Amino acid sequence: MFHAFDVSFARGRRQVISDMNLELRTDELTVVIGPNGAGKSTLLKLLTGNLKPSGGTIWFDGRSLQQWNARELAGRRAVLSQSTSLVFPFTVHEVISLGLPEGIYAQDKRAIIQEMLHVFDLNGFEHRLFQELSGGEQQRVHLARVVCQLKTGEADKPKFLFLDEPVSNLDIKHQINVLSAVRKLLSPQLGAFVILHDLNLAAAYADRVVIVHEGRIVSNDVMARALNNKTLSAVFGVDMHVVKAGSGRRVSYNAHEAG
Amino acid sequence: MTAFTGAMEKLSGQQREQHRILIPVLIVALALMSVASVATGAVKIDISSLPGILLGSDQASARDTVILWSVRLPRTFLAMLVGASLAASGAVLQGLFRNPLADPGLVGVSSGSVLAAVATIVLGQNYFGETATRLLPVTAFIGGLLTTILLYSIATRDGRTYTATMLLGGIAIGAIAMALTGVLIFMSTEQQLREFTFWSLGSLGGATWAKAGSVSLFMLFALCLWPILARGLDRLALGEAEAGHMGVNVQILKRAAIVATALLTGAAVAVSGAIGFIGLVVPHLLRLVMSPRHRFLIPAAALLGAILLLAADMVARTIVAPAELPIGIVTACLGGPVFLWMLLTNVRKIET
Repeated sequence: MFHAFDVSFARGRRQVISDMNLELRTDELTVVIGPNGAGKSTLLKLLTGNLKPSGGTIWFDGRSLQQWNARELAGRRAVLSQSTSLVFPFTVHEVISLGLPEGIYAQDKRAIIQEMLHVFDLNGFEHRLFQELSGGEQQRVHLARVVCQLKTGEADKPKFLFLDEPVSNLDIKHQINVLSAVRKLLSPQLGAFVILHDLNLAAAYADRVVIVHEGRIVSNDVMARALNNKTLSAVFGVDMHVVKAGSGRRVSYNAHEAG
Repeated sequence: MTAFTGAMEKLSGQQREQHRILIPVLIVALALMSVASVATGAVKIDISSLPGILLGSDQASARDTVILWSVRLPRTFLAMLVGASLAASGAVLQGLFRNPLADPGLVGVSSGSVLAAVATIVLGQNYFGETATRLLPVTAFIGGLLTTILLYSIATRDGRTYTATMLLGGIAIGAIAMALTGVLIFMSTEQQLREFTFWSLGSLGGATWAKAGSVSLFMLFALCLWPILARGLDRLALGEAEAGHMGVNVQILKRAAIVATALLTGAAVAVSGAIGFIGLVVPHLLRLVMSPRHRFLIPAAALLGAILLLAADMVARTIVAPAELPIGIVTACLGGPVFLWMLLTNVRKIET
């Protein structure tokens, strides 16, 4: 559904992304991992049209990304960026409703926003001022805004959710809440592309893991095969031990042996 | 003043929701203020005699009728239109720059309009004679447009608008425009100089129906852009990239905002000179008590701007009567301290 063909991106003389090929599928949670500066966020920005690739093409639902107009695309794919600032004193309710298109019925709007408040554990927050919330609360409001963007529009067309480190400011309970909520959204019409730092969260929630290192995709496989001692240790430069835990995996490392 | 604004700042979102009544309240206040403005001046006109004069009753004195129809009413309308234009353009500019400190006067847009207007007065009359004066609103608009585009391209890198760059760039543009204005003044005749000096301090004196009509025409054009702006500027508050992800055509939005700002500022500058601080202060005060959604903010700013400029004009006309204080001095006396207070309460946000 979402394809990247030989995509590369250079910033000045530095090649940030080289020859990436990737296919994202609906009904799948694709988690992207990799060390700082590997090119994860750049890849997300390329896939969402925020940056234009210096080589290669990106296709979504049979059309190249350039052929989509902004409004049409907004109903089919939503993006949570890593840092989003808000300048004016909007309430939580107002911020979430920015994600909804114009001209939907007030009743539907209210219902969607109530559902989002509930899903992201924001009940009772709707009239609070966004700027007065904690970092983690703000991140959940943005998630609610981004997710509700895909709640309207054509139900039978494929949709994608792109999240750049959606749990970076969250406590453990809310990390679990958010990633479970994203998993629940998956359907034959919806896929998700999520950048994470925590390898154990990746192991717990990913269907597929893409490992990015120095601007290249070094591994793209189902979670159980992608997470292995050799690849992880090589990519992150730390001795990693992947152990089976039930049907899942756990990743452990020695905190004093970095290097 | 401090206690008043302090109390307003504490309004939570919950209480703010109840301020839907704000726009009707502003409309009523504007109506009352315009009646007061019509009745006030060197010659007092009794409010009870207003309906008679307006309806052309026989009992109305001929003197009052002339004063009302050819002086007070056009002036009141012009003050309302200019105040509304300045405040609305401030709201749009702040939305575009994602910054509560943007103001057409502060960031040099007005001085661009002033330069264009002076060029029209001085150079235009040499080549085109009297037609040049009639072109003033158009040239002031073009001056404002070019300055806004220039400032935006200076202050925006990679889709981010930098506050410090914007303010400093605005100062630089303002200084250059002022220097060029100075050159033109040096070249001007005595008559042109007088014309310019009065005009540059800002004044609503010499208001005519024709002037009020031309401003309202420009406002009408700007009004056509309002649906694009109201929809897009709210989302732009999250940043250009986010607005784009949410389906806003950011390029069209930015162009619409720049054209609207230039139309409104240019029209206001053309008929009344550079009147500062209305565009800065009005949207900021409103955001303390109401939703910052531009759908409501822009019309509310237009209303409050009209009210404040009417009040300032009444002060300007009466405080040293029968002489008249330039209105720019009155708005600066009020707006300067409010601007300082905004700086002091926003220090953290500005230092980026």
